[in-house]
Amino acid sequence: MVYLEYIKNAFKSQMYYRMNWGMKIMGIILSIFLQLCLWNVLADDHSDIVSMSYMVEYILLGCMVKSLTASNVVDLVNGHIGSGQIAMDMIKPIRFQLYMFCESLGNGLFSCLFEYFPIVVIFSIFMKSFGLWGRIDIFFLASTFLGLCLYFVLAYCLALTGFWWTQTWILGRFLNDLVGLFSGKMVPVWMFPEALLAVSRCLPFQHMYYTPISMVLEDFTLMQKCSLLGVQLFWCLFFLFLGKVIERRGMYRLQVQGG
Amino acid sequence: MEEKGEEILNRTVIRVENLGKDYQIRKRTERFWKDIFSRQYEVKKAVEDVNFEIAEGEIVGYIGPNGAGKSTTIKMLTGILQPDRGQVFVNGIQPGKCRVDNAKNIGVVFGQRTQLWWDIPVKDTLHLMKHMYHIPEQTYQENLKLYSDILGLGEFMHLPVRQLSLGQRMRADIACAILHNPQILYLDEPTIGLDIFVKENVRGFIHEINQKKRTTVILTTHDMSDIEKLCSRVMVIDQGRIIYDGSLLDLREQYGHMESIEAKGVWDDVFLEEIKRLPSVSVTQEENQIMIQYDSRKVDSDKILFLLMKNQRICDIKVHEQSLDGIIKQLYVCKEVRENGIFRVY
Repeated sequence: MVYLEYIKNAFKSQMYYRMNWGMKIMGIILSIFLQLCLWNVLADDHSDIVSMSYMVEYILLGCMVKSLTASNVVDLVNGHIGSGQIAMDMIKPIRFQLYMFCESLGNGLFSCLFEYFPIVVIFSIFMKSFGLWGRIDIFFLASTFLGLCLYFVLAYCLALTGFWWTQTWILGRFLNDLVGLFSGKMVPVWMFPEALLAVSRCLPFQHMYYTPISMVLEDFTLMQKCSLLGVQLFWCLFFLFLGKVIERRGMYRLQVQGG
Repeated sequence: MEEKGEEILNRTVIRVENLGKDYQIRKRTERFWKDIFSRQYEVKKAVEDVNFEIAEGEIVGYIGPNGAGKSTTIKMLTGILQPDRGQVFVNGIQPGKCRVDNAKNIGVVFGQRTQLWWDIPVKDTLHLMKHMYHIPEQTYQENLKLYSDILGLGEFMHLPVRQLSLGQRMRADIACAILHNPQILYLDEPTIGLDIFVKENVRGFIHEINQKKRTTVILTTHDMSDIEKLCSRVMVIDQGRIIYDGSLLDLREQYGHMESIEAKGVWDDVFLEEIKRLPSVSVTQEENQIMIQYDSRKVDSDKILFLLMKNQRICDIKVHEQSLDGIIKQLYVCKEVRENGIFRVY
C-alpha cells in the first residue's frame, strides 16, 4: 500500500511542472514525426525488406514501451546517494530499491498516460493504424512490465556504483547508449547484421524494448511468447540478485557527512 | 519544563558498546598525475570507543563541536551507517542489521535535510507516513489534530514543500517524524536557522511529546538554550570520543566555576589593583564599566562584592553565572578532563 502511495506521489510531482510537460509533448511529436519520415523514405526504397505499416506500428508501440522507462533511474538513484538524501530514505521502514522503483514507475506512468499515450493515439488515427490497439493483449502488457523491471534493475546496479565512485551519470549515459544500440529502440532487432544480432542475443537489452513490441507485431506461438517472458524474468532476477549483492556491500561504504 | 531535573530511571532503550566508525579520506598531492595512478587515503576516526546507555523517557543532549562525530553516531543509531567497530542495540535490535524493523519504532529529524516530498503539499507526505507506518485512522486523525494545534501546521498544510519557509518546513518535518508515535526520537539540530518564536514552539513541542508519550529524545544541537530548556542529561563528544556524560547540574557544578561580575561606576586604579590581587581574578575596564572574572573555587563572590560595595561611587552591579556555552567551550579545550577519562554521573 505504501509503495502505491509512492507511485501516486511521484505521479503528482510530475503534474506540478506544466512547462516541462508542454516541452516534452513537443519533443515527442517531433521525434515520432522524424522517425516516420525516415522510415517512409527507407520503406519506399526497400519495400521488400520493410513495410511502412509495420514500421508505423513498431514506432508507436515503441513509444508506449519507451515512455515507461522515461525516468533516468541512474540519475535518480545516484542523486539520492550523492546528495546524502539516501539518509532520509534509510530512516523509513521501506526498502530503498522498492522505493526507487516506485518513484521511477510513477514518473513512467505519468509519462505514458499524459505524454506519450494521447500523442500515439492521434498518430495512430492519422497513420491509419488504429487496429493496432485491438491486438494489444496480456502478453504485451506483461512483457512491457518485465521490460520496465529489467531496465530498472540493470540501471539500479549501475547507479549503486555511486557508493564507490559518487558520480555515475556517465554510466547512465553509457547504459542509454547500449540500450539505444541493442534494444531495438532505433532499428528492429531482426534488421541487425548477423554479428550484431549474435551479440544482441547474449545481452539483456532487446528484452527491454524489442521483446514487448514483438509480442504484438510478430506471429509467435503461445509457447514462444511464454519462453520470451521466461527469458525476461530470468534477466530480471539475475540483475535483482546482483543489485542486492552490490547494495549490501555498498551500504558499508556509505558516507553521509555534514549533518 | 520544571520537571526536567527529575531523574527518570527506566528500562534501557539504547545501548552502545565500544562503537567506532572510520571515514576514508582521499589524500591529494600537488602532482595530479601521481593522484591518477596511485591513490592514497587517510583514515579519520569519526567515532571511537563510544559507550552509553539511554533509558526510556530520557531527553539526552548530545553535543560537540563541528565534526566531533555527533551526526555519525546518530546515523549509526538509526541504521543509516554501519558501525566499523562495536555494537548498537535499540530496543534490542541492531539497527545496522535490521534497519527496517528499527525504523518502525523511531522518528528522525535532520535539521539540514528533509523527508518531505518536495513538489507536493505537506498533507500528502503526512498521508504517505500514515500508510508507511500503518497508523490506524483514529490515531492518525488525533495526532494530526494535536500536532496541527501545537505546531500550527494548518496554515501551510496545503502548500507544496518547496514554497515553505525554513521554520514551516522544520515544523512539518517534526510532525512527520512523530506522527506514528515513535518510542525514540532523534533530533539532529532541529532548531538550526529558526527564529526565536519557532524555536520556542519546537522546544515546547518536544517537551510535551516527551511528557505525554514518554518518548525518548536524543537531541544534537549547537544551541545551548535547547539543552538548558529540554535536557536533564548531557553527553559531550569531541574528536569522536565521549568526554562528558552526566547530568546538566553536575556539569555546571564541575565545570561552571568561572563566574563574572559586571559593575558600573567611577573607578580609581588603586581600587582596581586591590581586586586584581585576589587569586584567579582578571579585570577588564571599558570607560565606567568593569568586568571581573574569577574562579569561584578560588575566591568567593562575597569577597569581591564586599570590595565593590566599599566603593561609594558604584551605580549598578550584576553577577553572572558561567553560561552553558562557556562551560562547554571550556570542556572542549580542557585537556585535564580528557586525561582523567570520561566523567560519568547519572
